Amino acid sequence: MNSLITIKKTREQIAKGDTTAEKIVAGCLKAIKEKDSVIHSFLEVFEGNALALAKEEDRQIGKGALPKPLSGIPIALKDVILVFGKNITAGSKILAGYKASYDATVVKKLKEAGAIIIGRTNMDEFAMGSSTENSAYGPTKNPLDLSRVPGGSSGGSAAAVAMGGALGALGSDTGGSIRQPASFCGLVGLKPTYGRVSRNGLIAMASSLDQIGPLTKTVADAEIIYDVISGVDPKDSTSRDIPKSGKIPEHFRVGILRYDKSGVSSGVNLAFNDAVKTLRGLECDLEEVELPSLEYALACYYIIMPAEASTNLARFDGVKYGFSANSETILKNYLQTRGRGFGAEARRRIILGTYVLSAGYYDAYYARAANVREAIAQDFKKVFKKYDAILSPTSPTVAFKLGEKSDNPLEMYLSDIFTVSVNIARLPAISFPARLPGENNLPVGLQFIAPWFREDILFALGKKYEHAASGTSLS
Amino acid sequence: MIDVKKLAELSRLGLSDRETKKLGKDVEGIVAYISKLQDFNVSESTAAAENDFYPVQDVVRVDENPHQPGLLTKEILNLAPQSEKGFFRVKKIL
Repeated sequence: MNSLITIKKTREQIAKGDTTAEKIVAGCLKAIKEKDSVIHSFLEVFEGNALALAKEEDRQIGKGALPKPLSGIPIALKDVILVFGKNITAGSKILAGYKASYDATVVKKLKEAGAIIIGRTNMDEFAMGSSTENSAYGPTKNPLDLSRVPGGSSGGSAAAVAMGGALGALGSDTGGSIRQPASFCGLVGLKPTYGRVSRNGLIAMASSLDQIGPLTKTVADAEIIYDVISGVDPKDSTSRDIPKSGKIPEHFRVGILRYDKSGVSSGVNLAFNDAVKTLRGLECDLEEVELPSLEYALACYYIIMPAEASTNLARFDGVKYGFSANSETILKNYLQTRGRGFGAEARRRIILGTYVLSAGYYDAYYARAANVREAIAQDFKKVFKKYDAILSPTSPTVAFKLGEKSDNPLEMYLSDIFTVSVNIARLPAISFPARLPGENNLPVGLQFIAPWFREDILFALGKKYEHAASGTSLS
Repeated sequence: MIDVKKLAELSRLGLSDRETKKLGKDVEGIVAYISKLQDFNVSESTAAAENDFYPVQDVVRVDENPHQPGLLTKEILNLAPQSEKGFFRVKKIL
């Protein structure tokens, strides 16, 4: 991965005339041509489109137009964000051939900012998974080690950026699907506060948990994309109009999450401890914190998420769009379209969701989980009275091997332990690469969690650590 | 015992006997895990009352200035598996 090509540097170069949008896009297309037949991060590359738009952007800048925040910057989109006129599948066969009839709000914003949408990336089907192995279109490989997964469900987006096929990407995060692939591929991944970024045009998985966010090489790049895509949207009534920044403390108080070290690989533990040491040297007050209800967060998540996903996936019925089995009766058509169009993990979660919502079980599971959810948020609220942020590992391990976890669904779910509580509590969190690599020299991701709508704290802390960890200039 | 067959019927998923059996095992394992939520002591006051950190408000979206009717009909029906004279075509329901 060429760490010199960041969005921040590139737009400085474009503004100065040291490079052109066309050159940048051509460079990404070259990397895709050379590497993506093996890595398989893209489901479709908008080659002709991208070059034409880049040339037009160059023309406008040549005429004296001021460069926009993302002028000429190639961005890849997880195939769950609608781009008008383009195919979109959510990684599923049930949407094969479907074309978006409108732009997602974030896509409108990216286009207005001059970004070049370079292609749509592979993902676990309907965002259900932590490895991108559940894609109906084949898995994506980790560019840092082709025998391993890039993480999921935004694995394609992470791999695209890590291999140089885009300068940044958008993913979606319901229980860690931006942060975990970022950690597996050595990138920065941000899940904004619930309500910070519009979900209009995002194919919904769990409507009270989903958020769109950026995957980038640096914290500053994540902030650049975040500034473009965030903001209240009348088309998403769960989006909030809250100021972007508050008072940044001169001296950060960071809570170090107390966790069971035996459940985490030794490489991740070492990297985590090293980061704590680094932060202590940066005028941060660090203290261990405990979140007593956290052990129930995973169980809470695996009730709320499948419940909401099973409802959201009810619309795929072979009637309005997508794959249709064309059976003799309406009921058979539903059964066969959905039975054949959905993959194994999607079917599993639909059944689970249906169970926890069904008569006789709703109170014991979904209603109860909704209460536990608020108790978990209370725990975080208590911690944030004393601390500006919480530090934890992003994932218990480094990137695992393809096929290693696909036999045991519960084992895969348990690896979400550090990420799901953030979505449950609706908080913002950022995953960033630790200074120390883990096992097999693979990157380790660490996570800062900040209070509601305090992404500015995440950027400030993230840049502080990045600067110290790499010894490069504070960007 | 979780009645996967009934759940599949409710969620309109056509499953083979083999798939039904495998799902039964998977879902029972997962339900055993999520059932640990029964141990959690939720005080009613904690849960419901203090939602001030994430205030929820009622939003009424006033859809003013709608676009002209039929603007996207062709686009949308082009995606339909079956359509006829501006309608989605479905199998007999009654």
